[in-house]
Amino acid sequence: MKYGKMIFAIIFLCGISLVNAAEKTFPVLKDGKTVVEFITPKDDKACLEAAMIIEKYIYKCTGNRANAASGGAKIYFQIEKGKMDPEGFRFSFPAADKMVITGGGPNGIKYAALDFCERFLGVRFLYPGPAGEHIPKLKNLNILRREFSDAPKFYTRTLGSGNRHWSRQRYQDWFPLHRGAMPYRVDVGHNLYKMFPPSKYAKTNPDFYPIINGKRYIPRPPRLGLHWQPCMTNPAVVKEAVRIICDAFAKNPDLRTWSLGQNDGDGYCECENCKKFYPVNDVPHRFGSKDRSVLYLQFCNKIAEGVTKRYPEATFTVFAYNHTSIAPKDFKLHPSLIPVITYDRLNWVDPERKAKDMIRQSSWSAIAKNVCWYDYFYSNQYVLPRVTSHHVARQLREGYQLRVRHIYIEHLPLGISGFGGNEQIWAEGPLAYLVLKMLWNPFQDEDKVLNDWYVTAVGPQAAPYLKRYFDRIEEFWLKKMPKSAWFKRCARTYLVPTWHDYLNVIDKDFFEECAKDLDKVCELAPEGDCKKRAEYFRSAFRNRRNRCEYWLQNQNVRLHSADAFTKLFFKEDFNKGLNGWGIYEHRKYPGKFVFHTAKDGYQNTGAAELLCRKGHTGGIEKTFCITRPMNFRIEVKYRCVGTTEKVIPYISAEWCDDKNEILHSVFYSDIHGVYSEDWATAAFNFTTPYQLPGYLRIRLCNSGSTKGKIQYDDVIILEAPKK
Amino acid sequence: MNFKKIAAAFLVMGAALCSAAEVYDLSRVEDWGKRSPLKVHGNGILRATGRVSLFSAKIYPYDAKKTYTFKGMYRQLPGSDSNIFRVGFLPLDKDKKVIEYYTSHPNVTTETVLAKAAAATDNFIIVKNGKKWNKRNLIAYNTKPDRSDLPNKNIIRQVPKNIEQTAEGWKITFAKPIGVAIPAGTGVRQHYQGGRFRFVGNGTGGQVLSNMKFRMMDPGMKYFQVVVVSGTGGIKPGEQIPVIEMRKPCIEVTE
Repeated sequence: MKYGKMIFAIIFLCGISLVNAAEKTFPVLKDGKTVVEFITPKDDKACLEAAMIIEKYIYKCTGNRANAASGGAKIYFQIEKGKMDPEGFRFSFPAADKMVITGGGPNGIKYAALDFCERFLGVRFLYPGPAGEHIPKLKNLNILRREFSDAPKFYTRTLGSGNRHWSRQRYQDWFPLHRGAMPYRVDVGHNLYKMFPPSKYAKTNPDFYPIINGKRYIPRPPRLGLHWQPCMTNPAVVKEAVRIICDAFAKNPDLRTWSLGQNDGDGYCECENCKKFYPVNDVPHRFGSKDRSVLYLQFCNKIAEGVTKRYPEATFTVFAYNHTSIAPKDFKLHPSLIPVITYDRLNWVDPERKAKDMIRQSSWSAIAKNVCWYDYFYSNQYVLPRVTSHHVARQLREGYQLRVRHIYIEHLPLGISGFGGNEQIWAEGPLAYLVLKMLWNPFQDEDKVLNDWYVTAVGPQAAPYLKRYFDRIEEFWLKKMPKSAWFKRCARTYLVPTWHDYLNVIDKDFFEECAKDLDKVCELAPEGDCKKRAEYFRSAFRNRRNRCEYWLQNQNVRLHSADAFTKLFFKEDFNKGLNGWGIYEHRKYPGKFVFHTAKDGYQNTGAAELLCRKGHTGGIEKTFCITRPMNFRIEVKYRCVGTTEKVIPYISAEWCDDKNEILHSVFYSDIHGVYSEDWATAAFNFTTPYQLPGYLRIRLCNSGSTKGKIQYDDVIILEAPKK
Repeated sequence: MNFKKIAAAFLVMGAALCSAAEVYDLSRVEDWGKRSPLKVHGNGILRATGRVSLFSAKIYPYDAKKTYTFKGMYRQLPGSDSNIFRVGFLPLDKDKKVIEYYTSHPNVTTETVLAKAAAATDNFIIVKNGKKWNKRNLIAYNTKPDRSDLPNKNIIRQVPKNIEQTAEGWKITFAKPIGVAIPAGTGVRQHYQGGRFRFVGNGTGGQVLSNMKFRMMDPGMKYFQVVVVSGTGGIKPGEQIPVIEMRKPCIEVTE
């Protein structure tokens, strides 16, 4: 009897709690069908697009279109401008059958929809491409009627990928799903050359341009955007800048940010007025450039003052970079100016470098309201994936405390990037996912985010092995790499991704251990998407491992004695002209510079001649199709005729695809000859890549001198079997 | 005093009415013809399923000095993301006849005259300057350098098979006889080819189209009919039948 009462009481309480739970939930799906209606305001495109995001993922999760009849529960979309952060949002439940999704602006309502998909539907955007999208299968969904609001901690969250290009499209379609969408709160970049193009002002206002070496310098191609700055003390330049910006703001009411980023390189005006702002002791600072911060910032201050008279809400970015890296003491910076501090913060793994950077950071924080960080990942140029998830997470937390509110990272994970080929392999795993999440809120637990990524990507059983694989790579970058000669050589604004000698400190069993972990991931990942992803990660690793091992092998072959190469593969004496050698020319430096001499070559025979000109780089090239694994040695005779001593004769060997595009910077070897008026020999060894047939492109080039010519003769390529 | 205030109010109201934009409403099913596949969905939302070409029931007058804006919102429901939907119009002349694309889109760099008379049975013409002519465009005759001939229905509806410079001029050869006699000295030029409809917006699965403007369209255009096309890409594996949705569609006409 006693027990009977207890059982009755328990059943009664359970019943009540079930009823309460039902009352506290809001129905979205029932038996695979949508039971809510989406209501958007008339003519509000942003709200309808937000509703479409939810409709799209409901469709993907259920296979059914959201098609609920009116009369049931409803989700209302609305924008409340000015009442919350423009990128913030709120979910509220004013009635049992009513959910209201409010955004602070068009981005806010869009982010609300994306958050809805992640939070309630369980969707995950793991990495670019369809396989990176995790879509759970859903039949029933009731969400807790609990009000929730969120807003970004960092206002600008850019993981830059370069301009629009087919090879970058997958990434460019993906990162907006992580709330890194435009329009950004601040505009960052070199911009003064765009504001004062010589084509527009050179004739009418030559005084806009700098005095360099006592002469007025009018920029000409190919240096329209490089190595010059407008005269920063000329009031007419300031006036014109204010006019340009105000006109742009008047045309576009949504535009209230402008980059005052100086042009890349040097070229600061040396007129008497500008010189007054040079430091008394005009010597290079610790980044190797002469300090022009006061000159630059007083110029930006004046522009900001002019524009904010009409547009008080305007913000401007100014570069803390190169000649303006260090903040001037006791300088009064206009409150609308946001310094963009450029630095590769992987340097922070070295406490000394970090301490120095913190001093620089503090100097800017002392004069600015808030600051922007400009960082360099350069992902697709590193041969070993630069995965440093925890390091970045810690950094972002510190940055926030230091009043950093805007982040711009040159990420470039996919696609063309100069010397990197059309990289299409996503080898960095959770890095970008984590960084984008931490940019929204750096105070969340990064391990929780990472674990969720691993489990979602490959399933709970395989996840620990995938975690161990990426942790191992991270450990290399944070603990091993700082001991490398590469890191010591790279004590500059950004680490150099195309020098791969950080690989010299990698453990011998590193790749084997990684391979074992990924084999285990593939073994334990459940069939379906998880298995596909596991295999994709493994193939990405294998690709990178091959490249790393190629680089290590190539380094080894470079040390081989010349005696090891006995068989002649190719010979060119240039006695019968250029003999089919093509001309390699930087597109920015057109004009004939390659000639042939019949008698002026080595031992009075024929030779190729490359004229040297200011700023010019070019040469001659020949491509060979190689089908067998082989080690090669190239020997070339050269001499410098009438050049300056700064001339650089260099010979390169590059492995290309069938379109004559270099595969990756790892497949590039070269040697720089020294200045020599007599005939000298430049030689180096290299090896074939792992994938054959391969296209070997040999280039004989010139650089560095403004006059004279380099003669090349007797090119010999010798081969030796690869062991 | 009161009279003055009332008069001023009327003046303001009058001015507002005068400056108010004219609107061609397209938000009801009947605005799209009796046989349109559109159905009303929920709160005045129009939807059509599958491969559809929707035409407005009415033909609207067009004034080249005015700006026409597609208002409302146009989208395709999720499930057929790879399909493209298009919003635009069919241009009509003063007789309400369709202005074909090739009658009103000249390649102005090809403007020249016939160097030698051509007979209807000839399969070539000789023009004075054919340097910029190509093998993709059609040929218009009786052209005027100021382009006052546009839309020009005098078209040889063939693309050149061969273009070569001869002693007499540039010989443009066709696959078949040109079918019309043209005297020497007649103005000729090439005209671009294109579809009948002029689309002002194209969207895919995730997009909402709105505020699409057009003005200064085809010369000779006096009327137009609104066209919305959806589902022409067919249904790809794993996708559903496309559904086009229009919310309060209308066209706003402003000065």
